[in-house]
Amino acid sequence: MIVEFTVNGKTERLEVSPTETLVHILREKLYLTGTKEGCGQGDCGACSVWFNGKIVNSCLIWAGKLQDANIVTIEGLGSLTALHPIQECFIEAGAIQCGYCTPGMIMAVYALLKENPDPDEKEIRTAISGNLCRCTGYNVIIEAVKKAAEYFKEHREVSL
Amino acid sequence: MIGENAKRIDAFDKSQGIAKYGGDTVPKDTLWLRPVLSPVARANLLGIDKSTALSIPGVVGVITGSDFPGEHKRGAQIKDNMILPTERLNYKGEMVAVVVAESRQAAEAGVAAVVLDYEELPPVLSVEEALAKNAPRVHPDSDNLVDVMKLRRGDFERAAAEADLIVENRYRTPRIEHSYMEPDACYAAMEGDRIIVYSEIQDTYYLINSLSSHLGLPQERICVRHPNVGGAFGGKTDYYFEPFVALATYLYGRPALMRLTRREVFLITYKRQPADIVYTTAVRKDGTILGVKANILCDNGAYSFSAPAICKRMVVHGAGCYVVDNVDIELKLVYTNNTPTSAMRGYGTPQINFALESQLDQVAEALKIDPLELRRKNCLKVGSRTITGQLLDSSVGLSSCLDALDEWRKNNPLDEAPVGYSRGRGLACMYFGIGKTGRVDPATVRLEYNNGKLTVFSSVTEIGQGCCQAMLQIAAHAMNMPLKDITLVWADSDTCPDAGITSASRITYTAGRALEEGCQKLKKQLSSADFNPDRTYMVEHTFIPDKPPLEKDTNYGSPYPEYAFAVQLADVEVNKLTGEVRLLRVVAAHDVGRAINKQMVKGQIEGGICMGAGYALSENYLEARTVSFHEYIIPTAVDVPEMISIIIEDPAASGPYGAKGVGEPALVATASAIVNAVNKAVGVRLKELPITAERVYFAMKKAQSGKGGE
Repeated sequence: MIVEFTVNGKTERLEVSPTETLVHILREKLYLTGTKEGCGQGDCGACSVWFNGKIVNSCLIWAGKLQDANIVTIEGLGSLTALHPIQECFIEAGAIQCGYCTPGMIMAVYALLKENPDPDEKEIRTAISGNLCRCTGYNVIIEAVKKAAEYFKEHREVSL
Repeated sequence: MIGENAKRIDAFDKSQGIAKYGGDTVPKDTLWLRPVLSPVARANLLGIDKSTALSIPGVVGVITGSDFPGEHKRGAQIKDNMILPTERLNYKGEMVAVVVAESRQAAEAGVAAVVLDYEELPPVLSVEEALAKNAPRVHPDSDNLVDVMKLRRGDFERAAAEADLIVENRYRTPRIEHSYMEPDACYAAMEGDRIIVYSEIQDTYYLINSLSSHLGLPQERICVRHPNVGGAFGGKTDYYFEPFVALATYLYGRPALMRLTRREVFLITYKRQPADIVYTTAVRKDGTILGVKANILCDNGAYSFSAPAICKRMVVHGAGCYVVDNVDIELKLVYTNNTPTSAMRGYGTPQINFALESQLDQVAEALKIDPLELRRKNCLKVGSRTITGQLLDSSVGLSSCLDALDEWRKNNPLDEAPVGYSRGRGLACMYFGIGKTGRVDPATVRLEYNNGKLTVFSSVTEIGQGCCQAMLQIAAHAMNMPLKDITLVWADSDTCPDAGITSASRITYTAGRALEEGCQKLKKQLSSADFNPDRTYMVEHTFIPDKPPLEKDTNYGSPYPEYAFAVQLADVEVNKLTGEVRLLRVVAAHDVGRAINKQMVKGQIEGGICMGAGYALSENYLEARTVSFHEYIIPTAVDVPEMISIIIEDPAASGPYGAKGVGEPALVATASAIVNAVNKAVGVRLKELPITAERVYFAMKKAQSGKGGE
C-alpha cells in the first residue's frame, strides 16, 4: 500500500507493508535513525515520536495509520547549528549518558511542555514514566525538564 | 579542568539523534542476520535442517557452528563454550544457528523455517540439583563444579568460641539482566580484504584476538571500530554476535548487520549470577568483629564466560570493608542449564555485600549499638590490612564517608510516616578494588602533538559512563590546553593502542593515569631547547598498575592498586497493609579519590543507586519467563527516590590526579541499605532479593503471627 504523511514538515509518499511499524519505516525507509528501538513492544519509550499532537511509541503504530499523519521526530527539533532549548537543557543538566533513551525522552518532554508549559515535578515524572533510562537514575532528567520549562517561561517569543 | 563540569563531548550528537549506534547503519545491500534459539534447556543436538530455510526467497545462508574455519571453542577463562553448538544444547534461548538474508523479514521467515533435530534431556535447573549425587552433567567432560575458591585467615572456629554473639543467616540473590537500553547490535563491512567490525564490545583487542582465532585469519585482516554504545554495565565485556557478522561479511563480501530484539537480549545474554550465601558473623559484645564465615553457592549457568573471575572478586571482598582477622570463606561455582552468568556492574560484590551488611545490622540490633557506630568501630583505615593481607597505606576514605553521613543524618531526622505507613532508615558500606583482581591489566595511550593541537589515541570504550570526557579533561589539565584543541580517538583499533578492558571500574584510573604520565613525557619534549613548532611530536606510554597475582591456593596478596569506598543511607516508607516499599531518599557518600568531572561522578552515583533500587525491590530474571520490560521491572522516573551525592576526595596515589573508579561502587551498597531500612521500618528481616511487596507482606504476616522474622 502507498501512504502519504508528513515527517518534520516534509511530505513523504511511501510504499509500505501494512504490517510494518512506524519505527522501522522511520529508521529503515527514511533513514531517520535518531528514533531508537529499545523493545519493539511499547515498554521502553526509546522510539517515542510526536504523532498528530500526541506522544506515541512508534513501534506500536502500524503503517496503516500513517495516511495524512503529522509526525515530528528528534531530527525535527533544533538544527545542526542550533540546538533546541530542551536539548540544550539536557546537556547542561548532565542528563545524557549512553544517550540511547535521549531522543525518545526529549520527544516526551517536548510533548509535555507543548501541552503543559508549567508542569510540577509529579507531572514531569508521570510524563516521562513511559521512557526507561538505565544510566542516569532520572533525577537529572527531571532537572533538565524544569530548566527547559523555565526557559520557555522566560522566552515567550520562542515557540516549542 | 580537573573537577570541572565541562559539557560532555558526545552529548551534542546524542541530544540531536545524530549519534550513530550499532544498529543505525544500514546500507542498501546489507545482509540481515537473525538467530535461531534453542527451545529447550538441555538436549542432544542431532542435526540442523537448513533446506526449507534456504528455499525461502531472500535467505542467503544459514550459519552453523561447523561453518567456522578457525577455533570453535570459546570462553574468556574456561573454554567450555562453542561459538555455536554442534552437539549439545545447554540452555533455553541459546543460539544454535544464524540466518543470513537480504532483509529483516526474509531473515525472520528463515529463522522460523530452520528445523532443529534434537533429543531432549532432563535439565539441571538449580545449584542443588547440579550438586546432587548422580546429577546429570551439564558438560559431559567435566563435573558440575566449575571452581571452588577459598580464603582462610586466622582461626574462625576459635574466634567463634570466644565470641559473645554469633549471627548466622542464609541469603539469596536473583539473576539480573543488565537492561542496557540498546539491544545488542553489530555491523560489519569489507574494506579491501579486511573485515571492519563495528562492535559495542567493552574490550577491543580481546575481540580482535577472538575473531582472528574463530575466522582463522591473521589479526591484521580485522579492524574493530566502535559506534556509540547504548549502555553496557558489564553486559558487553564479552562477544556474542561479532563472529557471525564478521563471517557473513567475509563469506558474502557484503555489509552485514545483526540486531537483537529485546526478547532475545533477555533470553540469550548472560546475567549477574545468583548467589546462595550462608553467612556467620562472630562478634564481641563491644561490637568488634572477631570472625566471619561464608559458604557461597553461585549458579554459573551453562557456560562460564568470566564467572570464575567474578567469584574470585566476591571471595576477596567477602568480609566487607572491615578489619577481620579470622576468616573462612568458601565459594562453589556450579554449572546448571540456566542462562550463563558473567560480568555485571559490581562483579560479584553486590551479592556478598547484601549478606554481610544485613548481618551487621542484626549484630547492631542484638548488641544495641548504632549501626553506623558499629561500622565505624570495625572499618578499614590507613594502616589496616584487608582479608587478603593487603596493607592499605593511603586513600582509605571510608571513615570520611561515615563522618559525612553521620552529620547528614543528625541534621536530617526522618519525618514521621502518614497513618498506615511505617518509615525506616538504614545504611550499608562497601569497598571495591579497582581493576582486574590480581591480574596484569596495562593501558596504553599514544599522543600526537602538532602546532598547538593534541590528539590522544587509546582503545577505551565509551559506553555512556563518560570516560572519553574524563580522558579529555585529564589531557587538558596535564597539558594546560583548552579542551577545544584536544581530540580523543577511541573507536578504531587501527589507530588506538590497547587500553585494556573497560570494566572493573578501571578505565579512567588506568588509561587516565597512562594519559597523565604520557602528557608529562610530551611536555618535556615540547619544552626542550630544540623544540620545532612545525614538527609533530609523538609519545606512546603504558601504565601498568602494581598488583601481583594472588597466591594460588590461599588467595593471599595485594590484588588491587587502589580501593574505592562508600556508605549509602536509605530512607524507606512501607505500606503496613500491602508490604509495598517506597524508597524516599538515598544519601550516598563516595570516596572517589578525585572527581575528574563532578557532574559525571554524580551521574554514575545516581545511576548506580537507581540500578541498586531495582536490585533491591523489583528485578528478578526468571529463566525464559521474564523476557520483556513488562515482566522484568526496572525503575522508572516515578519510582526513583530523592538522591543526594556526597563526594569525598581522598586522593589515590597511583590514580590520575588522585582519581579511582566509581562506576561499580555506585551500586554495591544500595540494596543492602534499603533492606536494612525496611527492617527498621517494619521489624522484619528480608533475606532474599528482591524484596517485593509480596515478600514483605508475608514476612510481616509471619511476624505478626508470632513466628518472628522470615
